Amino acid sequence: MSSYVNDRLHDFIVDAREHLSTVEASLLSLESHPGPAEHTACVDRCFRAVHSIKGDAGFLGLTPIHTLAHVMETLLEKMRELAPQQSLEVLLGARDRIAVLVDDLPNSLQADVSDCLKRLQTAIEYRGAGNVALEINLAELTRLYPAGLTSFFRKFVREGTILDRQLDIGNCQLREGLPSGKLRWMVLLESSRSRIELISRLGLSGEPSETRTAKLEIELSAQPGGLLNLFQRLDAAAAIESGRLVFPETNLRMSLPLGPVVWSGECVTDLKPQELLSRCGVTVRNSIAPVKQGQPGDFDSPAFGTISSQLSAESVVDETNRYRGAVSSENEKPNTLRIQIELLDRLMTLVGELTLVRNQSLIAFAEQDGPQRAIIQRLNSVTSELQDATLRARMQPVGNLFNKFPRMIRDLARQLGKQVEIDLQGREVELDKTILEQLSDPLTHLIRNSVDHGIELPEDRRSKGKSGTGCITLTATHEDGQVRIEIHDDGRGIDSEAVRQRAISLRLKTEAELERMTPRELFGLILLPGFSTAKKVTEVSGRGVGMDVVKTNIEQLEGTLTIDSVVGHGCSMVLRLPLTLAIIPCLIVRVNGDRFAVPQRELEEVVCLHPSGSGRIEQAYDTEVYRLRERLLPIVRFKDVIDRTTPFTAEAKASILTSHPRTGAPPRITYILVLKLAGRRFGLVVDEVHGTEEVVVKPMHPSMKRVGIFTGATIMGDGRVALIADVEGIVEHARLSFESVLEANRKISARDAAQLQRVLLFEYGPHEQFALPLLQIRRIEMISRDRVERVGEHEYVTVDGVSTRILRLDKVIDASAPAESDDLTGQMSLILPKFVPQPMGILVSRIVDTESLCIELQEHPEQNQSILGSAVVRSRLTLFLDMHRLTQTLLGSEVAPNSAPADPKRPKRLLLVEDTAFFREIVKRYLTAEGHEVSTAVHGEDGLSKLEAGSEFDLIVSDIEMPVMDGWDFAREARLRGVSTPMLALTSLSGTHYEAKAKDCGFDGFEVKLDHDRLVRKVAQLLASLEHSI
Amino acid sequence: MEDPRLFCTFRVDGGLFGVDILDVREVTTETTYTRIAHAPDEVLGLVNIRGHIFLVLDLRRLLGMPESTVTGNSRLVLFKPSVGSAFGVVVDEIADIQTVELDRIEAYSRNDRDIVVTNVRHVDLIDAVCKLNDELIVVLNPRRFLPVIEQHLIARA
Repeated sequence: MSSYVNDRLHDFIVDAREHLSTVEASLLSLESHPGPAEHTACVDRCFRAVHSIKGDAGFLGLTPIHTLAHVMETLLEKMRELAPQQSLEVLLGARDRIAVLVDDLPNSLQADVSDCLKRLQTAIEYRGAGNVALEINLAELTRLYPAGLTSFFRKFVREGTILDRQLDIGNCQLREGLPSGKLRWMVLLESSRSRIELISRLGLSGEPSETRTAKLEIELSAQPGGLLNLFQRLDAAAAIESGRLVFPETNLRMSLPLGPVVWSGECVTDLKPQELLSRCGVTVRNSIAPVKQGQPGDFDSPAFGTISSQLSAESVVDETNRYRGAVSSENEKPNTLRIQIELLDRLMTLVGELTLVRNQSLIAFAEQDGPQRAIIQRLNSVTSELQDATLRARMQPVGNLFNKFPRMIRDLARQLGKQVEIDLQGREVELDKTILEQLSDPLTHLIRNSVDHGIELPEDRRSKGKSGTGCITLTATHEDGQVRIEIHDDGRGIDSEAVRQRAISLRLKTEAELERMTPRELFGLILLPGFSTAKKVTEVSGRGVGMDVVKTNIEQLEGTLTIDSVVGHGCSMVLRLPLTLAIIPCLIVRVNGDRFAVPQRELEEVVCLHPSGSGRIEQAYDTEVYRLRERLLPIVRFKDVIDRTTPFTAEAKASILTSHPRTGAPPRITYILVLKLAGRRFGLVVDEVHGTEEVVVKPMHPSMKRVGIFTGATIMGDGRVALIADVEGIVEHARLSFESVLEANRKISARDAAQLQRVLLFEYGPHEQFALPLLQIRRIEMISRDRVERVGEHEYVTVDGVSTRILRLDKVIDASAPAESDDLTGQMSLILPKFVPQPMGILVSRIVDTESLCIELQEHPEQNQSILGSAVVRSRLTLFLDMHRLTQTLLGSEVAPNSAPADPKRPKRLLLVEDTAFFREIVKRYLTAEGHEVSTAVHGEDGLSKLEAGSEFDLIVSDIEMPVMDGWDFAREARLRGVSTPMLALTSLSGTHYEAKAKDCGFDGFEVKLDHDRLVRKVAQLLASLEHSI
Repeated sequence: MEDPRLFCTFRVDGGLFGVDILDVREVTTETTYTRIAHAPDEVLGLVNIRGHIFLVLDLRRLLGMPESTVTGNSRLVLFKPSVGSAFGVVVDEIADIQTVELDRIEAYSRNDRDIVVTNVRHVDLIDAVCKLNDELIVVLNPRRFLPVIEQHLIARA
């Protein structure tokens, strides 16, 4: 094909797509039963667009498209009078078919469109009820019906159903009396009769002649009769108000305009445009195209589509202008210019180059204070602004994307038997072209969801007191340098209870975890794979796939998705997106001496392993792992990935494992980038971290595309190139097995479930390792040795302005004292405990780490009141301290014994329900020390069975967060079974919310773990009230 | 008689080589590359030439000679986009631009492999040979350079 034809075809595709969207928009407006005037305008607009397509297609010999467009025209012509719903449906179908053909032009010539044509033909022949727009001159009516208008209207209403009506009294002031001029009654009637029939049946004279403005476009070159003649006749027939000449794009220096010259103007006339043209004896191209068209392939009529295909892209502005009035309300402002993407990319490159020059100049002139400084600063700001402006050039209004949704929603709503309206806001907000393209799928999905799950059936809506028609609002706004797109529906909303239930049944979260989640976090669960709360699967959505894909897609665009909902009132999904992807924030790292950029969108956090720290990379099956907050994180070393050019095999993995130390501290400082990938996380080990930078992404060299571990390259501030890591490619290359790690994680969580206990490990003397529960520690304070003051035997240090007593472990228990040299370092750690009667701190020579443990405490051989027991932690014997006893021992002489045994008469029997062995031990000790008999149960169900077994208790103390049955359920169940024993909730949950909930469940008291004195007091109180009530 | 051809000539491992001057975009002294992990050995890396990133190949390795070490005389010969997307080769030393009459240019085909071209193992890259008075210019076809490394990458997978 010659390049000329190719260019024409390209232009055709671009133009046709625009026309097709006009057709769609006007057909949809027709559907909403507009008033008569609006009705005609819509049909006209649609007709013009179809006509343009037809002209272009005919010119290029695209017969199937031409034929379809031709028959559509015929049907549209008919619809000026009568617009039945079926015809709209058929026309939309035909539009879609043309759209398909346009997308695949090479094959369109062979396409079989006979089925579509047949449907159109049937619609043309249709004689059923349809909408007829009538304009009735009331003055004429009074003449025709001397008996009064009532008789007319009686007759009129028998002809059909009035859909819409409007009275036009012309231009007059009602204050000055009744209008004397023309009175027109405009009505839209649904009737089985055609317009002509109606007019004759009602005895009307037909269309009242009327002075109106006609928009005309006359193709001058196509007029045989001479121009002077033409304009004389035109002048005689109408008053020309404005006029201008439109030339095709021509370089006037080279030649006179080639191709058609168009006169376009407005004139005031009584005549209908068609009459005007015939009276002038010219072929007039008017906003209403000639009614009769030639056969397919007939080029006689100068269809203006033919012209537009001869106009080059730059004159699109002009082309679109001709539509103004009809279209501008529907589309974006046409003051735009089409630019080749390559040109934009080149501009971006040049700007990047300029930025570099700027950077170099900044360095070169940094020392100088002369006049250059001002110049350089100016250069600096101009460059930044230029970069900004160039980026903006890549932006497109979101309206381009939004405009496809009204049709989609309409089709979907119809399919589901719902009534849905769509409201588009902020269509002018702009987004980077690439983002806009990639946003289409996720947005489509979300809107489908809203229509399917959100909006209820009309009867359901009415029964809830809402309007039968649901409304979906799509809003785009700028917010904090990002674009925010909100999809709001006024449907049933998301039932948070259903989400909760589903999360529990899928074992995604425990009830206690769900308790603590904010509504937004809760709704966020919907985005997890396999999560769908739809009660039934529909054709549209509800299979539980999709929302996770949506989330992934949006995250790939560096965006976020949040969901807010109120049950019964609707749901809002909010997308936040960056303006552009051409510049992305990256973390700059160094591996093997080379710099790399790692996109921050995948980065969650950076962990630094220090040789002297406690973090370790361990090995699990075939992968290295790092224990990050109780989760195993699979580890890939970037260096290994770089060193091995082929994807990892099992052997490669094995040799990698052997090449790294199996255990022990890292030989030097190591950084682990915690990266997130479609919900899975892994760690990437790098040598150095340099900080973050906004980098301009350049695509990878085409010959290097097969190198999967990089997505592109960028030019750094020093002018050197750095490669941008492809996180997904790295995982792929390393054949990272998430499964084995997941398995290991599952084992950990199954074993430890809710019984995990977080403790602080520390050393005091050279030998022993100690542990204290984190719950009992306020914080750790570093103090310098010279701040310690002595008062007699006691040592004090000032912390937060409070004199704090120092506790040396070797003074209170049988433990080794730290060697003097340890103390000489000048710095010491002081553990400040919670819940102590006097400020005190435990002196520690070294903090080891925090650790989550599932502890089985052993009796410590040298039993001491202050030692709860011992366990082996990290292959060291570790002593677990009893904070309360320590305090007592230290302050023993000064503090009176806490309380006497509560009741000398009879020891009270207590039931302690607590899953964590450690706490069970402590609490039991506390209570036993008060003289009570304490039985224990390990979870709610165990507790119930203890109660069932017939044991009598005076008080039940229960934890809340427990496996099998938690404290809430335990209390409810116990109360249900008629247990009237007082119950005390003892938990690490705190807040009035929980206190209230505890009361609801049947607890009589609520105590936060773990203050010895408060607990003892509370227990005594509850027991005392029991005494009284008896 | 047809116009003579112009060749941009350079030395690689002692031999004199040339490429058609119409294929050459520029010759620069920029020799700091960013290595690309996983790229074939012939690839030296990426370089930034005034805001554009070019792929740099080692001509020695391409021709099957021992690896080069960048010296003060090393130059980067960048090719025009018509030759292949944004790339260049590093040569040991740049030589003159030689005007050669057409009758002195002998096409080099596979059958001529016995014509000994010093130390070049990958003769596919040779287009022609020009006999000058005192020396032989081996004319290379730079359009075949990128396909060589692409082949390497495909072969690995």
